[in-house]
Amino acid sequence: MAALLTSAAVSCVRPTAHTALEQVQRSGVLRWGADLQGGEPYVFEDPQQAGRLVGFEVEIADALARELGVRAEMVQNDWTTLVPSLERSSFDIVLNGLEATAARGERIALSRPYYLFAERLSARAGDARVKDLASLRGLRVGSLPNSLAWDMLATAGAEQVPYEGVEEPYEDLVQGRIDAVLLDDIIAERYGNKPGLHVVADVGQGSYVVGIRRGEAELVRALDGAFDRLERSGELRSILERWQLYNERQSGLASVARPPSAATELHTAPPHATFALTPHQLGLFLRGALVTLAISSASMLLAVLIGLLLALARQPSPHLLQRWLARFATLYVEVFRGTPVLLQLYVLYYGLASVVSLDAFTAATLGLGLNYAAYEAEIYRAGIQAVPHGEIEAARALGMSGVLTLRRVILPHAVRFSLPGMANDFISLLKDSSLVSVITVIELTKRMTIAAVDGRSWFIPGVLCASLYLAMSYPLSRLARHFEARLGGAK
Amino acid sequence: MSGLQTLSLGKSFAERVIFEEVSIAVAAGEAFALMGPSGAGKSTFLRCLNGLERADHGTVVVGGARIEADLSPAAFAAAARIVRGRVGFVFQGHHLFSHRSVLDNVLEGPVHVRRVPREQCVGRALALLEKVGIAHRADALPRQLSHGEQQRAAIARALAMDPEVLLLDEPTSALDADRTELLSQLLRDLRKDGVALITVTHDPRFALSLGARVYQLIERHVVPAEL
Repeated sequence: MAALLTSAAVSCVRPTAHTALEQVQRSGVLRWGADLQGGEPYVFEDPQQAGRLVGFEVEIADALARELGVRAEMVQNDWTTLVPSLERSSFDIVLNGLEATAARGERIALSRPYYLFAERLSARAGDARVKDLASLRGLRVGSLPNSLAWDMLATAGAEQVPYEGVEEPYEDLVQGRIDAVLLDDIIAERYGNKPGLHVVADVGQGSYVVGIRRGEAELVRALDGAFDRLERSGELRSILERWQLYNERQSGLASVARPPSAATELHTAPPHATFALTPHQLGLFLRGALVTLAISSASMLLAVLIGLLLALARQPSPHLLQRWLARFATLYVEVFRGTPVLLQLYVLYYGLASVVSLDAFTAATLGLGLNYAAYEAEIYRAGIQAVPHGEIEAARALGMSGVLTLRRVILPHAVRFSLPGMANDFISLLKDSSLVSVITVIELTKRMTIAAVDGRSWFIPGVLCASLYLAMSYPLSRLARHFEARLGGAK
Repeated sequence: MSGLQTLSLGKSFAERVIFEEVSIAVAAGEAFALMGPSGAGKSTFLRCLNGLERADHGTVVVGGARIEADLSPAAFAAAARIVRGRVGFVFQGHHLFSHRSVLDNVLEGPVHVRRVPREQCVGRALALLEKVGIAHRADALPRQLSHGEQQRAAIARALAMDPEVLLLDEPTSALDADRTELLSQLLRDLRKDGVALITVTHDPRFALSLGARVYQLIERHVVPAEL
């Protein structure tokens, strides 16, 4: 079965009328894919002028386009999925700190290097455990998924902690949420310069190259030629100097051997998928599913408890204190329902880091729980409103206190009315829990993305990921229908 | 057994006076029927007697317990709960707890309000269901009962609290002649046990069959009815 899946390749050969170079020349635009979240100095928004892009890669892109006789246009794309997006022609080239690796060279064509960097290991000053790459085994180390550093961490046996930006890993290192950070020296110099941190060592080096779709040898040659001219004229060096990036290491640029690249092979068939459904891979996926289930369950529990308190606080009452509580509860529901849960997660994990430093799992549970509490509160409020008024009067006529009436009459009814909505919310929560990957939790969807980009195939990881979600949500969906049926029968 | 008295009871909704200066006394084992035109406020009067509705003036006295109209909200609630412990109420719509069995409806008061252990209450609850003639429906849910059975369950639920006074709101409104006679019999038996009955009704024959003093609420006053 595994062998069958492994050999299954999703390939569709698309006859292209024009080569990429002809396309660029015809349209007069060189579209280059990059991620603004990579930040200074790569490509980022000018703080002085919102909307204007600056960065050394912006200048390189402009210079390359000028050499090709066209203009450059940046296309925003998540850094981790730059290569798949290149392959589906979202842009012509990738120009965004793309490291030359053998695996990448097999998959896409690579230009000659335009920058040489070191992989720099940072840790908290005084943490003697972090000495070199080998010392990272078992430690939590932050990096960017699908980067050269990420692969080095896997080989070293470190626990990889994924980040989407470059500022956050160093902040988390200061907070003690992770033990070390391994990133390119450009990033380390700009973002890792925080009190309490120190550079442990440079543990490897690599080069930035431009990524081009497989088989587009003409475009590779054109870009290589452009780079050669930019280097001879000294323009490349002056761009790097302008951004304080030029160092000793760069003098070796011309002599660095080009990485083995698919550029030399002229066949145009897309490469075969190499995602292999090994027991190890399957284990990683199951672990991701477990994380998803654990976070969802813990969040739901929290949401139910807080939601219940909110719903009770919103019950009409003549007491002044309770009226203020009701106002607070209404405000809570409006704020948490009216702003994106993604924003709430960012604020909770990064924004409040200096006040309360929560670990990622706690922050994820708290963030989703606080958000879903607003929805649960509304479900319970509707449930409480649906309680037959006559039965509440009957309870009072029997001499029940308010609390006893709540416990014996209102809540049993309200819970019954609320169960279908709660089950539906839990299903939504299972899927929304994929958002917590932005605060470094590797749950099911993140595992799928990493595996898919690594293995150059979205099909099998996608199907596997979807199956696992379905396996979790289908029983819930059955449960919701069961509750609904019971509610219908009770009327 | 002490029955129920009202002293100058009065109630208005906004500008409209429902009743005023109502002083009645219903002794233990006595029956009192209140008649009158629809919408005159008979049910409101009945609800004021156990504090489900708050009177604007006057006092309700049940033995040593009393509800004064001019108490603070918290004190009113506390007083009403004491009175409700001695006064049972049978709603026109019954209002049985729909999520509990008939037996559990009857047990709800003794077990959860009086906090008597359930095992000690079950025997008496079944005896009450036997007395109202629906012991065979003890495990049924309220919605599985006929209208007459639901009413009997509601009466059993009220009797489980050993009330000195039983308030009934239009108890015959959905019963045919035979069932009305059965209900009347049951209530006459309760009178013999010393329970004071106060019923709102539009059926003079039912009122007479109870042997009740018959009054009517007419133009804001409770006065003897001429039948």
